[in-house]
Amino acid sequence: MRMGVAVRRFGIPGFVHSLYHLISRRAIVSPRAELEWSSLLEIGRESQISSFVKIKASEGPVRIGERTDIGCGVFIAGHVHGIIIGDDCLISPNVSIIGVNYRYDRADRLIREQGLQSGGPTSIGNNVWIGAGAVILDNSQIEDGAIIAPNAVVSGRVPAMSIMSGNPAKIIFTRR
Amino acid sequence: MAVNMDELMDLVGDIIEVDPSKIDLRRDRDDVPGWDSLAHLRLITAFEQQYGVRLSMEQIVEIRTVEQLSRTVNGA
Repeated sequence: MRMGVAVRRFGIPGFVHSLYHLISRRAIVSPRAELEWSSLLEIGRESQISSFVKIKASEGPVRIGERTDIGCGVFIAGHVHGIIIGDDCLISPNVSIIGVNYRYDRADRLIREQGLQSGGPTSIGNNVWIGAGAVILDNSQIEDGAIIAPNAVVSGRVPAMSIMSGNPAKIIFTRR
Repeated sequence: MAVNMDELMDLVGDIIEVDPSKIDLRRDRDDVPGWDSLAHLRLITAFEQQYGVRLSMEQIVEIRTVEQLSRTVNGA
């Protein structure tokens, strides 16, 4: 890990993040959340970030909209294409939102030596509820009003107002 | 289209993962293991696809038994 990233990630005390976001955006960030001190990280007005949330925003933007709640233990890893979360979303505890994949094209080399890739931005629309433990993979597009059931694994497009469940997640119902 | 009860039992059994012959038509869904809120939505979606109907949210919430589900097509 580069020194600059390490400082941005671990060098700023939690209460500094909390104060900064409270004053600048009226957002409530737990001092026990692990955020990165980076211009690539934006947290919208009146959003809430709970304890033990970890957000990586060194390689690409992570934008969280307004009045969005991020539950305990959520992991958000942005990469070059970034992660965009809309307004009024409810992200339940232990959800993982991953904006990158390891390459594994060559079987004769270690996976960790083959580098990273991202197929595109991972986006979550407005008014989305993601159940506890769900995993949102790189290049997923969750549209407005969707609900993701607990422990679902999402990869790809989730149409607006749909409810998805399972691994791989499938539409089980469309809200009406 | 009228609902064939044997077909409907198979559908319900498939969704909530029970033997169709053991399904009680009038048993409340809260008392049926496996018939949770997500299974209910899966069941409604499969039912709508099979019988070509579209239920309102009010109907979906009110359906508590397999018998009530069948009535949405067959009538009271």
